[in-house]
Order: sequence, then C-alpha cells, then structure tokens
Amino acid sequence: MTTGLLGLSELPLSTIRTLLDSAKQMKAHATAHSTPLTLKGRTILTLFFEPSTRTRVSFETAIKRLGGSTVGMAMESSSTKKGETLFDTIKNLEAMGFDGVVVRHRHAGVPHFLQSHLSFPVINAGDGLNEHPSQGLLDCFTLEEHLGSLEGKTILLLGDIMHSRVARSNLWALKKLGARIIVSGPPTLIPPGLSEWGIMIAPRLDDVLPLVDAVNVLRVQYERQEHGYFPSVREYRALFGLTEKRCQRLPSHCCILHPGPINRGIELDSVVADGPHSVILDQVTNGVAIRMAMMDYLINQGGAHGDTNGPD
Amino acid sequence: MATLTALINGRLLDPNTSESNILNIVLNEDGVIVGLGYVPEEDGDTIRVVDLKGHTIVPNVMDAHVHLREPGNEGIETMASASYAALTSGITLLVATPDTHPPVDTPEMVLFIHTRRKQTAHVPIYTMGMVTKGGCGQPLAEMALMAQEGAIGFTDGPSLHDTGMMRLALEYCPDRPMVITPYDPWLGGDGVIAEGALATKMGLRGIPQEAESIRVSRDIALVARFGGQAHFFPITTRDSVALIREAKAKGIPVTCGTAPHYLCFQDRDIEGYHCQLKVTPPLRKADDTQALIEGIEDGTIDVIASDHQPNTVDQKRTDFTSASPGISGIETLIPATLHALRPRIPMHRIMACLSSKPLRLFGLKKPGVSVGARPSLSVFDLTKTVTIQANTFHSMDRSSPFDGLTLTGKAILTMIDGQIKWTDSSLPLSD
Repeated sequence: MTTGLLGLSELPLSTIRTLLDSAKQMKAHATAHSTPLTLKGRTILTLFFEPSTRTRVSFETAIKRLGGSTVGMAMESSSTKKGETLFDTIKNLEAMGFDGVVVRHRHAGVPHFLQSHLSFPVINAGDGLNEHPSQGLLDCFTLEEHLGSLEGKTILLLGDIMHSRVARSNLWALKKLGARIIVSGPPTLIPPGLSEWGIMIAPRLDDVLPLVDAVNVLRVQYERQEHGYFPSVREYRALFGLTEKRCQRLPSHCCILHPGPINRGIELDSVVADGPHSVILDQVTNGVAIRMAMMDYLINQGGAHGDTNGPD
Repeated sequence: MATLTALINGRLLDPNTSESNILNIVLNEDGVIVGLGYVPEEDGDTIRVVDLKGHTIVPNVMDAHVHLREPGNEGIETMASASYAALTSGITLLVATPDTHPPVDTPEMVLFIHTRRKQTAHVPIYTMGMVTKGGCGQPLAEMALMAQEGAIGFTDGPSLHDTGMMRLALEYCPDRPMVITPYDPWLGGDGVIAEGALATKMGLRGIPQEAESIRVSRDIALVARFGGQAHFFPITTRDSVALIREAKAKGIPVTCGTAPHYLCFQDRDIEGYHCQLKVTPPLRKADDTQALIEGIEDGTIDVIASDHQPNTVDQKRTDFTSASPGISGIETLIPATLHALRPRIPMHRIMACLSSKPLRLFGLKKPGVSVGARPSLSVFDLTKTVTIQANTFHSMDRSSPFDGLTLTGKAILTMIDGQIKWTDSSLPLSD
C-alpha cells in the first residue's frame, strides 16, 4: 500500500531523522545550484482547498528545483462547488495519472481519506486542526541549525495551541527528537490531554521565558476573539504577546520562530520579529529544503508507485 | 394443507423471570395459540411441525428507536427495507422517530405513517410525533391529536433548548413518554468526537460529556417539579447513568436507554478517522461503557435500541468532519447487544431491555405466549457465531462499524401475529 506523509504523530523517528538529514543536503545543493533532478518527468498535483500562499509556493519551488512539474487546482472554482463529492474529485484526478498530490483542507483527516483511495502518495500540507507536517519538520530543521541536537532542549509553543496544526506537528516531532515542551497561551486555547504526553503548561508566560531555548510563536486568529476565546487583542498582547520588553527575559541564545503570516504588534512585536533572536526568514528558506527532502523521499524511496509515467 | 402449526422443542425465555422451559406451541391457521406443551397426534397433512431444537423463543422483541427516512428520503431507507431488516433479525416491532420530511408533527402525518406501514412494512411500525411544530422548538405540536391517531411517544430529538418551552412540553404531555436526546449545543459547539486527548491528537473538535449530563440534570429537575415522563435516549456517559439512577431512587418518573455501539466501541476506535464510528452523541471512554453496562445490570437503563440512522454510501465516504453521523443498526442490534453484555448479565434481563421494558414504556399491549393469543415472537440460536457482513444487509444502508466482526447469536425464525414470516435457511420448514 502506498504511504504518503500524513502527519508527524505517526511518522517514526528514523524517518524524521532521514528527512532532516536529507534536507541539509538539499539546502547545500540549492546553494551550490547543483540539485539532482530526481523528480524529472514527475508531475505533482497541488490541491489546496484552503487559501495558502507560502506553503503552496514553497512546495512548488521544491518540486521544480528537483526537476518535477506541478499542476495546481484552485478548488474555489472547481467542481466541488458544483456538488461533486471529494471522492469523485479525487478519483477523477487519479485517472489523469499524477505521481503525488499535495493537499490542504480545512478538515482534519482529509489527507488520510484521500490516501485510502489513491495509489500515489498524498502529502499533507495542512488538514484542519490536525497537522502541518512540512511546517513541523522545517521548524525542527531550523531549531537544529541554531541549537544543535534538540535532545533535552526546552521549546516553548506560544499562543493558540487548540486551533493550531503547526503546534500539533511541532509537538509530535519535538517529542520524538527528545525536546522538553512547554506551552503557554490563554487557558481557553490550550486543548485537553496535553499532560498525557508530558507537556508542561505554563499559565504565566513571564515565568518560563528565562528557561527556554526557543519560542515558536503561533499566529493569533481574529475569529477566535469573536467566538469568545479571549476578550480583546489588547488583552491578548498584554498577557501572551512576545513584546520587546518580554524578550529581555529570554536567554541570549534563544531563537524565535513564527510560521507566518505575522500579526506584527500583536503576538510578536516588529522589533522582535526583525531582531537578533528571530530565525523566521531561515524557516522560509529551510521550508523549501525540507519539502525537497519530503518529495524526493516519497516519490523516489517511500512511494510504491511504479515508473509508468515516463522516463526519469 | 396444514391447518395447525407446532413449534416444538423451543425454550421460552420469559423476560420477567430467569426460568426458561422447553415447550411446544401449537397455533391454528389464524395464528391463535390453541395449545401449549401437548402436540396433537394429527395426520401429517394437517400439522406443520417446526423443530426448534432447544433454541430460545423471545416474545415481542422490538427496536425502540429507529430513524426510517420515509417519507422524504426513500433513497436512503424505506419502511419496507428497514422492516425487512428487522424481520430477518428477529425484531417484531419498530418504533420510528418523527424526523422525516415532512416531519410527523400532525395527526394527518401519524395517519399517513400507519397507512403506509400497513401497505409496505414487514413488521408493525409505531411512530412517535414531534413535540413542537417541525421540531423547531416552538410552538407545541398537536400532541393530543397525534396520540389519538396512535402516536406512542413524542420527540424532537435533542431536548428543547428553551428551558421554559421544555417545561411546557413536559406539563402538556403527561401520558406519553417524551424521548429526549440530552445535548447542550452551546457546550457541544461544533464538536464531532468526545473531548479529550484523542480529539486533541486527531485535530478534531471535542464535545465534553457534560453537554449530555447537564441536560439530563435539567430535565430531571423539570420532570420532578412539573410532571411529564422523560425517556432519555441514548445516554452515553457515566454521569448520566448516575443522575438517572439517583432520580429513579427518588421516584421521579424518568427512564432511559442506550444503543449497542456505545457498549461495544469507544472513542479510541475512531483513530484513523473511521467514519463508520461517527455517531451523535459521540463514542465515549471505556469508563463510560463500563458505567452503561452497570446501569443495565442494576436496572437504571431500561431500553437498548439500535438508534438506526441509515446513510448513503457517499455520506460516509468522505472525511470525518463532513461524514453524516449514524449507523445502520437494526441488523446488529441483537448480536451486538449480546456480545457486549453476555455472560455478565443474564439473558432474560438483556431481553427485557429489548422487549418487555420498551413495550411497557410506550404503553403497548402485546400478547405473550399463552393460549388464545396471536403472538409475535422470535427464535434465536444463541450459540451460533456470525461474522457480520454489512454488504448482505437488508437495510438500504449496507455499512456498519461491526462489519467483519464475529458475534454470537442469530435469529432463526420470526413470527408476527401468529404467522411465521421468516425463517433462516438453517431451519427448513416442513409443510
């Protein structure tokens, strides 16, 4: 059976390690303009049911650097709007013969559903609140670049953990890589069950800032305020914003990550986002390398799909 | 031509006692029992003998909560298909919910259901009516006129969200059970699975168990003060069982039921996004399952019914959040219940939850096995193992979370009003 890359919770540590190591090589190749064209002749479908800019561009760049081609479907204008079921959409696309599909959808488990009906690998580019595995991997990659091995390192995930697939993918990968994880955010945005995985919950952000090797700041989504999860952006910033002042409490080696797009002045002050702790643009660069590693691994090593679609 | 039918060597299970005796039942051609025990020595042409070989006879087995989809969604299920599923599963009576299109919220609709059932159904179908017009929460539907036409209970599905209207509905409807699915939609939000670590792990929105028990608690308080009969169905949590146990001990007229899937599965079985296990209320924890079994054991839980909610293939062949809730449950009601409860709970107590107790709840008077009666009864081979094959279901929804599981206990004969309507191929009829 074909296995895609659906989430980091089910991905073994050995595969995570393989992908992180491969991304390091991919990054070196890209810098030296010597990338092997391992996806030559391969066509990957990018199927985004939710709007995305950087993830989609990052995947397309990764595939093209490896010599593959991409076909994108803008699902807002597609036949799902005409009442076609997800099942029919995917079976039609399968009949066109792709080598893989990168999918984003607002519901958890859509990539799993697609994979159970497809003979080529499905790559999850974000499914509802569940996972965003390429983001989780690129965050780990960036952390290792700056901190070395993550074994025993303390990583703080800050903000809306409940509604964040980035947080979940980070949790599973960081745990497997041996990091200590602290979460902090409004109590209404901390999901139940975290303590079952040995994750520490810090209700007061200021208490834990001196202890952490890195902070991954999650984006504040305004609709959470409308639904009553917190009373105002002003109060959110006062309690959980990574302000310039708060940053002074961080150890000097601490790095700050953000999956983007940033709400400057809310979860992250501009000075901090552009300051010496920030590795946010490294994340974007590394995102392409990680996605090259993922695509190469899935299409050429992990994928069970045969070489029926043209020469390599 | 046979003029008499003799069911010989059957073991009659009396839901009220633990006794079960081997007996012979002799019926005339009108289906009336003319003798018990003694089989007259008639000429072979005039008596048809069915040897039950010691298998178990249970009178009036019913499924007390089924969503039929007819009228309105005959492409999903019809009275004919659901009732044939019942007949071949040893179920001799169905209680239908009124959430059809149009809904059963007028006496004319009750009449329609009963007329249609007589034309097409293989087992008797009784219907409940809506508590409020269209199930919209207000105003009250014509419950008394519907009762006159034969509605045996009332339900809007979830309890009325407006506590004042709920009070009025309970006060107004004193002599029929009001079937309530206790659920607070504000607390439940847009959850699709039990709240907890698993929901967090799967990135699915959770429903806290208090969304159920808070409404159980509220409605018990309303019944205690303002009257009415509340029947909570299905209940799924330890807290709900405890609240109802306490209310019953105080003499408050409340009853409750649950469905076999809450006895056989937990939320952890959903891992991998198994849409067949998407149900409302959601599957809970092992501790809740344990509490439900304890509730059946001590009599807190009165009824076990399938909560049959058929869907189309496409409604389940999608992602978990988009999938429609509900399972095709009629054909697994008996074996799944037996699987969950045997041997801990004696057979007569299990069968009481599937026959005599729901009959009493809905005020249905059905004859038992006695001379002069035209009985509805089923015969079960309680030792026969069956691997559930959903693609052979008679329900139009041929899917099931039990598909592929091996369960024990199978219907082999179904008699409606004294007439043998169905027999399993393992039980050849000599005529």
